Amino acid sequence: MLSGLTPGLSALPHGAHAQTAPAAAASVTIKGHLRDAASGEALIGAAVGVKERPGTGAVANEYGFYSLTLPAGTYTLIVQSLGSARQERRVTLVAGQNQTLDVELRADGQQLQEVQVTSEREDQNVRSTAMGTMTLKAAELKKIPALLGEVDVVRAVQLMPGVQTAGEGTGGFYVRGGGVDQNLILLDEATVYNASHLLGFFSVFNADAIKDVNLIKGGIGAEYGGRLASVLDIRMKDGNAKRIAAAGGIGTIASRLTLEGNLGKRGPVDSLGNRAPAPGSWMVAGRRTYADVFFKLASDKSLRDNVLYFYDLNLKANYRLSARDQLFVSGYFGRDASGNKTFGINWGNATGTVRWNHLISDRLFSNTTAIYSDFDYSLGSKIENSAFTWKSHVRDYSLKQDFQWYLNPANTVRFGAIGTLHRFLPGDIKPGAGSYFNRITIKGTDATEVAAYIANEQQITPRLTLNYGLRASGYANVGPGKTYGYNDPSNPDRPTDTTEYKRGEIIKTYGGLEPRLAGTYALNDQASVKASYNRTRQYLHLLSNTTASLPFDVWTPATAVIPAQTANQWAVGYFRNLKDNMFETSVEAYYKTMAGQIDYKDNAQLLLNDRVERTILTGTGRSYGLEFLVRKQRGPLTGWVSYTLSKTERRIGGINGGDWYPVRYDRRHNLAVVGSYQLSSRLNLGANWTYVTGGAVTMPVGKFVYEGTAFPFYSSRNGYRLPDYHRLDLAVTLDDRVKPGRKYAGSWTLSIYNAYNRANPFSIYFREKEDQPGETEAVMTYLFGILPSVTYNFTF
Amino acid sequence: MKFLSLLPLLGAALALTSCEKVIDYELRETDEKLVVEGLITDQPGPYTVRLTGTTGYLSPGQVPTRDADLVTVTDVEAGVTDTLRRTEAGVYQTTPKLGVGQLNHSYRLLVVRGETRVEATTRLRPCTPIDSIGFTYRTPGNDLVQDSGYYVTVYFREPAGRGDYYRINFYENRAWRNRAELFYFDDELYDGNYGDPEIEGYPVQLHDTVTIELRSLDRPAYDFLNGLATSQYQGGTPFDSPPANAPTNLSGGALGYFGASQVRRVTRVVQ
Repeated sequence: MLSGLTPGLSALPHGAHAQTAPAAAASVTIKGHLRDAASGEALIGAAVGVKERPGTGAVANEYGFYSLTLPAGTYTLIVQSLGSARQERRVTLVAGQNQTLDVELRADGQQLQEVQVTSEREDQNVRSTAMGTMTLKAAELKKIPALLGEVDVVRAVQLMPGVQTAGEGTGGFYVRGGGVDQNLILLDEATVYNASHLLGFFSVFNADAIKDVNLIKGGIGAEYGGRLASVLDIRMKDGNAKRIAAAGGIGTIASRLTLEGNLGKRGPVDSLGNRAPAPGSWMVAGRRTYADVFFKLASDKSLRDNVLYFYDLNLKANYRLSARDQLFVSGYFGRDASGNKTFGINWGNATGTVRWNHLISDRLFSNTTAIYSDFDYSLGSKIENSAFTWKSHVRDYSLKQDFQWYLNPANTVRFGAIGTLHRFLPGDIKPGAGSYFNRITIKGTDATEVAAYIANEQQITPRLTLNYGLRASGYANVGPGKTYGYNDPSNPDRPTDTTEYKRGEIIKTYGGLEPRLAGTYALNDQASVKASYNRTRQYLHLLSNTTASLPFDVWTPATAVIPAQTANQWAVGYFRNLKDNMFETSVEAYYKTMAGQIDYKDNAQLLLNDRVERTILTGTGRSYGLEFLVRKQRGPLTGWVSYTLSKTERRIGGINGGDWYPVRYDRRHNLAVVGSYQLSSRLNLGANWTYVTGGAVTMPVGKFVYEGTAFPFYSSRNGYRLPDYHRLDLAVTLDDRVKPGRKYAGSWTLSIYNAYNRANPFSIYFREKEDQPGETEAVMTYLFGILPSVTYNFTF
Repeated sequence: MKFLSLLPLLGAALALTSCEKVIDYELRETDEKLVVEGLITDQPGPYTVRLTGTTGYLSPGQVPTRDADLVTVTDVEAGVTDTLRRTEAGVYQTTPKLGVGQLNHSYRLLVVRGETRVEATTRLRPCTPIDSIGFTYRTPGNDLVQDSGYYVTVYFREPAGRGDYYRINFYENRAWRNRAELFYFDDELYDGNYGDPEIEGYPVQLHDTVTIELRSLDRPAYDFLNGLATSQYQGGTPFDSPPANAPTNLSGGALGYFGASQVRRVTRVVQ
């Protein structure tokens, strides 16, 4: 963050006197949207306070909308957002005349080319009931040193407390003991099933297209459901509603270009030079790697024929249909492809969201969403006699209705419902012409999921705020499909009877309540204690026998055999801000139990297995930990330090003799230091350092000989540790000199991944010593040594 | 089966950047286990049961041979129990009493060694004959191979009806070439069709004598070989499923396998 930000002020100080209006006074509602002055982007989480009534206020929702109901009278509204200059507006509310007040905030002390959309009330960290959450703005994200210069959302998330990775070269993240499939990854409300590119080295989110990233790992609100462990809520930029703008970058492995602009006629320019936004805006962002372009130049013919690339395309548009209606359409298309002349594989996600914001009344905000999400992969061989194409997909169709009811300043009620149809095609292999292969189709069953929720955030006293909610979810695994009975004791894998289900016929149902509770008690203006409990349910599983982010992962619905998952999480925390909210600190402890967890029989074959449930073993899991965070979001030096002490285990009958065993991503210590220092108006230094206990692995404890060949036999599951992981990344960004009147601005970023060239373990294997046959040695493989890269970014 | 080799292809991106270094890594050792290896076939006997012990994974040298107090094999259908003769340390052979392995007979093994009692039952399933074997000349430039040479294709008619399992042993000039790399497959791809698996990674040259053995397996034997092969390729990478021991049909905590196969054999000179 840059210097010269808002001078310290204790936002919305709350006194000890009662603040709600007496029922007799006529109440008037003032509502509107809070936006960034430069681009017209909605300011999520910006705050409106009332100077005359300390403790009373409203926070802008995901669309920048706020609604505040006050007794008639004259007030001074304080509108503020971290990183923006605060504004005061004098309003007179007359009984019977609700008002609309849209406010645009100008980025404060910022250079023009870096429109940093930061928001959040400064003491939000202490005041809100949210715990176990962390929000990153796109601008912040871009300052974290990146692998090969590709700014990456998931890599940034991995630096947050309570988040683990399965090691370098693996995709995904693991939140408070949850599996990689237990994260609800939302891109403009659409579920993203596989967030990895290129085996997990990069994530599918193009940072240029993103407004902000919010990770919720505890105290998950009732409006979210369907996954057990966390919500990673990623919002795309709306697009600039004031002018056509472009941003892009040329990097070591990929290039990016984002175009955005207004939709419809732009408004007039006011006396301060502010242009009123157009009724709509659009944004198109693309990114593509170009390693394969260099393959073409290779002298080696086999390399020249190789294909290896990925691309992302983000599209978004919104239009204000009337003062009460706004329509948003967003889409994402991404794909990875690799292969050569004889084999090819490609995979990707496609998501689409249509949202309609409607103000039913000045206090009742409605959002209706239609969502489509698809993840598919296909691979094929062109070799004569054995040519085939193999396709697999998971598809979601959802309809969602959410309401936010700003009942009064002390109560904000959220309620809504969602229905989803999941369709699965685990695998369909078609033989090519002249192939001797048989066609193999593993048909998936369908699944429907419905949920309704209601939650209220209530300020009970000026010090105590509770957010209590309930979500009820129901699920049905439906035909077409088959279930099998297994009653042959001599061959327990042989199905003895088959039950056939027609389309839409219910095979198995699951469901239940999911209470969500969170509360915060302010000890004073700068400190609070918080507690939360939430139960979450999940009806899908990702079947993956490996930790790598392979596109072959099979998603499966809960069935008569594969159980639904539930988790209960309890958390307590102490939050304290220091030096006028300059530093945010927190300590959180959590305990989580998980049921319906799955693992696999030894040597299970998951691909193309039409009775995959026979390979699955079920059991329970538990995780507990302590998370420390110190974060600084203002001043020339910004960043955070996070430390997590945690333990995650599973107990599954048939594995490890039925005893608890650590999961692979169980890591005792996890320390991350993320810093960014604005050295001068043009020069920014970024650094991050992580230190993590090595992942748990299973190792051979002996060898035996069969048919003259030595084979290993193994320890208890995950009974060993890889060596510890640590790494330092650095980045230097040099901005072009600012020239008045010129829109074009560029910057160079030099990033160095793994700056001190640490050999971090990717794996350990054993081999015979070359010079001493019969002697075995341990060999560690590691992926990246020191890896510098240069990126040029521009906006105009 | 060729798509099984896609994973390494995909991992090529990793291979480009990965490096290796030898490290010190301490492995605990467990108590020794008894290892049993035995096979009954439809070919003339005698058949051999070998007993060995395990050693620490990082221990140098050979595994020790182990003797038993009693080793017997019973032909369940014929009701004949044969007590095997010890011919050398750890090696026990059947006598003419057992006779030649019979199709669709079950065989039961018993090994008694002190307090340890190991038992296993297996079934000798019929195996479809090999029609022929063919040779295709491939070069790295034109095909997905590393070395130039003749690659062997095995042709056979796979009988209709799922549940057949096979193993292929490949001999070049009488030397068993795939000793360290097990070839085994089920009939998922070929069921009822013409099978044409190609032996990947083992080119032969002109005038070589090539012998292919196709052997029947029962399901537990297939699972065992699959487990062995999986454990063999464990590199501890994120691409691997968690390592596990090969599922044996032996009781009493022993490692290894007692199996039975019909053996089909074709020999041809490359020309």
